[in-house]
Amino acid sequence: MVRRAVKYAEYLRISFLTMLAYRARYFVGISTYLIYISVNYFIWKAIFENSPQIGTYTFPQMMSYITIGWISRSFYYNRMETEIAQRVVKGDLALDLLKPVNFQWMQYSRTLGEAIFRLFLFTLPTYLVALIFYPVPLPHHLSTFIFFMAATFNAFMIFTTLNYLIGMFAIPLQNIEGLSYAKSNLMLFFSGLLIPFDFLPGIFKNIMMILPFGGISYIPLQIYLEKLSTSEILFNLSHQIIWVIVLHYLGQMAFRYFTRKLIIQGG
Amino acid sequence: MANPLISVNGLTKSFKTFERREGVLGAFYNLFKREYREVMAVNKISFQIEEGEFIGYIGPNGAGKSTTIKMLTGILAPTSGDIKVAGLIPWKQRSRYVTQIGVVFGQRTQLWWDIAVIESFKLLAKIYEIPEAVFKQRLNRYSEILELDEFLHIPVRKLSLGQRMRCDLTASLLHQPKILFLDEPSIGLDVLAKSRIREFLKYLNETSHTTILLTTHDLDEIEKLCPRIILIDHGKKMYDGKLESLMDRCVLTQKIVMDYKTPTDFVLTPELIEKGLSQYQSLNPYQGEVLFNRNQLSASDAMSILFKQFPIRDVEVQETSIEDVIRDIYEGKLQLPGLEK
Amino acid sequence: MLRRILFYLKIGLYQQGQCLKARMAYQEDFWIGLAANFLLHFVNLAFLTLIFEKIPLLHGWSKYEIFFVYGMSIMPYAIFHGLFSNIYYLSNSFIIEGNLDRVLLRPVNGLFQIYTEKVELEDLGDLALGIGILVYASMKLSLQWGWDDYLVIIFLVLCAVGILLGVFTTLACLSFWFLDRAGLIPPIYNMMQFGRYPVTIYNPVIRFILSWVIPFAFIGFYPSTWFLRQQEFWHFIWITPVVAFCCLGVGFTVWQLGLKRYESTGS
Repeated sequence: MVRRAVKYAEYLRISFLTMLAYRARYFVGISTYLIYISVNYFIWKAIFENSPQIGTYTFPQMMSYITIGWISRSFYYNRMETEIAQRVVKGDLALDLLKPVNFQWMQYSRTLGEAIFRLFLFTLPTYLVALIFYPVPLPHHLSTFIFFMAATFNAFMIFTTLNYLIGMFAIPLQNIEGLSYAKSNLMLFFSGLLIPFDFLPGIFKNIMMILPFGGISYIPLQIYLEKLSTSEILFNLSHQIIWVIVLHYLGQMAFRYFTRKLIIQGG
Repeated sequence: MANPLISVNGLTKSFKTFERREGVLGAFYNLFKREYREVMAVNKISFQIEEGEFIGYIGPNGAGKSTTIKMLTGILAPTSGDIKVAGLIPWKQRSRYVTQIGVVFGQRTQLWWDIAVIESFKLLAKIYEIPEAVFKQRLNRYSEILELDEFLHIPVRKLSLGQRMRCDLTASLLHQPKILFLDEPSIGLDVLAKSRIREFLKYLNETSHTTILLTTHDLDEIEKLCPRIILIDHGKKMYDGKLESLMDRCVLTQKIVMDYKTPTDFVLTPELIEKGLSQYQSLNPYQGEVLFNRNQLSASDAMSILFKQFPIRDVEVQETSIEDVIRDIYEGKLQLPGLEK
Repeated sequence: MLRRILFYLKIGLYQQGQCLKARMAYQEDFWIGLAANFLLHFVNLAFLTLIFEKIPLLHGWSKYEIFFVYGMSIMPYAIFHGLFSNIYYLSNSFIIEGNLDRVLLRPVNGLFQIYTEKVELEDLGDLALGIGILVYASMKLSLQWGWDDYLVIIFLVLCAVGILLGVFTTLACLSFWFLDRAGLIPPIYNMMQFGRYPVTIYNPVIRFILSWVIPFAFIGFYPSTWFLRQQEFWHFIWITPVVAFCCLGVGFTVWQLGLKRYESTGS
């Protein structure tokens, strides 16, 4: 068990170093999040121009929602599906299959390495810079913050397992650029990042609450804004975890299915 | 001829390279501050090439071969020194210059990856403004010699390396360049593909008098194709001239292996050493080997001396291969006497 | 001169034709790409619709005015991206992988060769969608289009394409100095988000940047004011061609400088 963990930790370390090797990408990354926060800030400011409260949100709440939403995204975001597709196209996937490690867990640990890197080098700096322009109040209770952290980790897991599943389609399709682009566009909305589900008409909101994607932004942000009771928080955290497990197994099944086909056809 | 086709004088190219620090902390530090080091890739190289010559440009990895080719083709500007090819300065007058030359990089294709070979050729014909009829005639000629017909309609990415190289060669010749630069054209090819390309290049040089400059690691290729070689190492020119004279100059001693009729034990006497023999070694009671100095003795002289010493059943004079010589030069075992340093 | 133009036209069209031919083999990629683009616009329009459920005006702009600006802003980008997006790969495919050498060895302008090596047919979908949104919004706003309006709009869209071409060529060419696979394109690309809304909602700094530094306000917003707020913004409409001219000038100059640098470093 420990030895296995060490093995995966090595992937984690390598991905960390790879991220550091590209400095432009790093500075660019931070600016990207600040741009998104800024665009949203001005739009929401204009929206709230004549009304102090819309639905259940005040302007400061809305700003916390957007700012924290984008800042957390800088933590959980990754492009695992593209990386998997690149390995498939280059033929590296065949090499990965020969290694004595589980491909799915290898991808997860690599991504976790990236996420830890992002936490320190994207999320925290972005947060500090954003604080200057868009001051976001901290939650009132420490417990809220801990629950928020847990929910954000789950968000990372949903995002990652979903990306893995999408990445699996590279095995039959090779090019999944369009698919990945479509996914990220849809996710902006379906995760609740662009606009809280509370702005949706009732039935749509209920659908969104059942789907796994709200676990990426909407659920953690509801926790952060202290709009949920403790039992509701626990319910939502388990909702996230159940979807992580489901997506994980879907990814595993997809891997088995597509690689079996690959082996039979000798692709 | 008054002016050589290619004239290179004191050509120098230096690069700055950035040194990455190791470890996670070092990588952090790299984000903000980097250190650079200057490297001389090409160091004061001079040579002249006449029209119609076939030159082998050789040297170990990282010697500066590709850098020289890049400067000769105008992609790279020299740090100092002059290049004049066909009356033009490559990097300054590039758009005029490139119509005079053909370039093939063995490492990567110059054709469009996703489109059929023939379409690449047609596009090149348009780019070089080759009249339709002339283009057809040239294409037919090359596709006949290089047997391109079977894959003209296949996209480049689906070709084998050998097929791709034949297409790349054709592409670089469609506009009938005066000079052809080939950077490792046979890299990764199998024996058959290599010899086919070799024959084609020979034919091209002999019939069209195209001047060819070839870099390669395959010394066999050099031996078969290039009457003249330019050898560089660490960015400096080590040798420029005929391959045979390099051999003559470098191969100072040769080895003779002898099979004896009866078990023989032997020690070199001072007179024999005086005559030019050295380093006798007994391999087994029936076999021994000895070196002779080529400046003092011819092979037949050496043999006649040896025949006087023992009852010999058979002798063999071992040829030193070019590979050995070049490798020794690369590894610094062999100092080239009297060459520019 | 004319002969030269025809020569370039012939080569450009031939290259693009070949690219299209090669792409025909991957029809599903085309459809997925088209759908992915549409999804992004769908998500953004859904956002706007949901917002206008709650408020009548956004900083004085009505829903269909905002739609109009949105439609206007996606047309030039569709044209630019469809015809010239290969410039995005300058750093990756041309400088790092060395394809620029191939380009430089040909007696045709290098930038032109790079531009015309690729066409993206999916963007026709965006162009059509942009026109669709524009028509729909004009109907809702009961705008009357005279023949001169058509000419002005076409002219302004072409200027906007020039601005995008200039800006992205400049950014791509910066990778001659700052060699990194990611480059500066993504954050500026993200800044286009700003240009999809009336610049009046932003603070003066951002307004200034969008007008005079990275003039994305000239992509969608200022051209839209020809119909929406002519009295207020007429001078911006008049200088649109000047801005386009400047952007293109900067782009081509940076390309020339970058090429000089490439010649001296070879990487």
